[in-house]
Amino acid sequence: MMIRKAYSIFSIVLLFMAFVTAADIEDFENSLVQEGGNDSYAVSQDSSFEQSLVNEDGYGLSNVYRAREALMQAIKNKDTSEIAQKISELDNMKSDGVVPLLSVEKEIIYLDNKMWNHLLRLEVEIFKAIYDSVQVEEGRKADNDELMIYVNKVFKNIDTNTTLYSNYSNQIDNAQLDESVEMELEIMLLLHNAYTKDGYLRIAELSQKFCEKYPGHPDVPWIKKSVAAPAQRMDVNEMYYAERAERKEEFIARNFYTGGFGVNVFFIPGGLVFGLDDMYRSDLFEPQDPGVYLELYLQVKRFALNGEILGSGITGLASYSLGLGYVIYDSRYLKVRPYAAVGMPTMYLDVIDDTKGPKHGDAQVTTLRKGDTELISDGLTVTLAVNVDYKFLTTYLFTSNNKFFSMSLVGKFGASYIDAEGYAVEGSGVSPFFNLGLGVSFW
Amino acid sequence: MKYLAFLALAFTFFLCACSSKVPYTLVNTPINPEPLDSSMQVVVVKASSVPVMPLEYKYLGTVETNANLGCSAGGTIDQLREKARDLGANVVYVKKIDEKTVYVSTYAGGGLLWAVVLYPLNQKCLTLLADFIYAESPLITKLQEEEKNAMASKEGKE
Repeated sequence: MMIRKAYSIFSIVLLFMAFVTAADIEDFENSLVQEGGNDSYAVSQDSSFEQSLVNEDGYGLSNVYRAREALMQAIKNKDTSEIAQKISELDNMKSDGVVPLLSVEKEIIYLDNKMWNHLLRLEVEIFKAIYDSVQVEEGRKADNDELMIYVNKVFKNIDTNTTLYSNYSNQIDNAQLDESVEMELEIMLLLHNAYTKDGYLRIAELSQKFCEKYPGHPDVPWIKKSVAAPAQRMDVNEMYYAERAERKEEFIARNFYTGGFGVNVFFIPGGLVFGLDDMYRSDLFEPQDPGVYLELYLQVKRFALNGEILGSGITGLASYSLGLGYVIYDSRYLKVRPYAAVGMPTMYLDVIDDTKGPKHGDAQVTTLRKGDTELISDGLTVTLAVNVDYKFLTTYLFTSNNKFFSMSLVGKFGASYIDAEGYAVEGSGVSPFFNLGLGVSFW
Repeated sequence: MKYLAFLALAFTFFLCACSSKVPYTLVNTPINPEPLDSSMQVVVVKASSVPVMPLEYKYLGTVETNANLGCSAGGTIDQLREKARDLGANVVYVKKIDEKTVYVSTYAGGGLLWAVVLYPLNQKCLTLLADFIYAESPLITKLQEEEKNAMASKEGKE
């Protein structure tokens, strides 16, 4: 019967139609685009309905017809207590094969007769039971009678351009109901249009008020979890930033050992030297401390590739090195990354006086001028060291919730074996060292 | 300048073409989600028709697909099902459905005056806002069975 389909907005039992199977997934996606809020109330004008009134077989439904007729009479008499009683009688006549009174019919009758308390209990009952229903209200229905026509007439008078609640809000306001009943009824009626006419905004607001004001109400746990919660989770942008703030520590922890990119600048070098005595021509040069040492590293998972200008225990002696490290410990504030590196020792030497000397590597003579700084690189450096980062500041990187920016106090501790060789530098030895500085990392 | 804008646009399209996933924003997911058993089906529920959630359920996140390059008017639901499965959800509860125009940003200007300009593309995106939940109820079980049968029937036809 077409008229039955017209009630789909109320007829909760038909709602399983909203569940989608793989077979009709494409149709579903198309329907999502075309879906509007107005189709729900559409009422069929199919003349077959009138015809069906004549042809419907009433066999076995005579008691139901009589009870429905009595209900209709009670409606005409506007006797709400009798209406409630007749509806109860009809409900008791329900059996597997017969549906004497549909839920939607009850809803319409309660709405039209301003039976707000009854309506509220029915709405709560229907919405609570949706997921427990495995059968639609199928069976023989005595729907070709005066009651059916009455229900249809009321239904057609509902303004579909607004919410169901708006259609009846004035009447509900004037009914002088208990505040809790009025609030809960508004929530329940708004639910019919919660996700078609943006009713969720009011539902979220009203549900929160209701739960706060009546914490002992038996429906509060259900309203809080099943009604209000999904309605409150509608602004993903807002949720995104709220979650970023709330779960920052958790998100940071999730990123440990994942990798990133970092730059460390060391201002304070120091250390000891074993060997390397008279390694440069002190008659020609004065060692120059470059002052700042640098490390860049790229970390993938726990492994890190780094390039650095590494200070040593000897003033003016640094190493250009490439290394491979492994993060053995990472936490909110501390990261420990030992590594091994090989490179080339470099001495920063200021020329003391104008002089001529042999060019490195061959017999050519080079001229050195007083005040010049010579970078003399030759030989080999092998370094074993550990980087210890104290991440004193960690923030999200721009608007991301899974990428971070950290500032750290960085310490590098280790030892280098240095074998230097050149026209002004020569010697080998071991230098335990430390470098202290600041670092930034993106991870 | 137009040449640069064209290059920027072409590069954006290239990035889009490289991505087969519908762009989305996902929030409130569990730290260590337990994926759904492969034998279980994920069902999609439209909140416009079923405006409440079950009495008991486990909330596993909210997703919104974005109207960016790479979005699609088809395939979105399948991707959400896949995501739900990863998170251990057996219900995708679709709460909002929109069709939006895609805008692409590029730079325009000259000298010191440069600005980001948004170009509307002749492309519509189906955007969905949905919750992922895990719930057990007679109805969900029944729908999962129907889903399973429908998939088997579909595979049989192919």
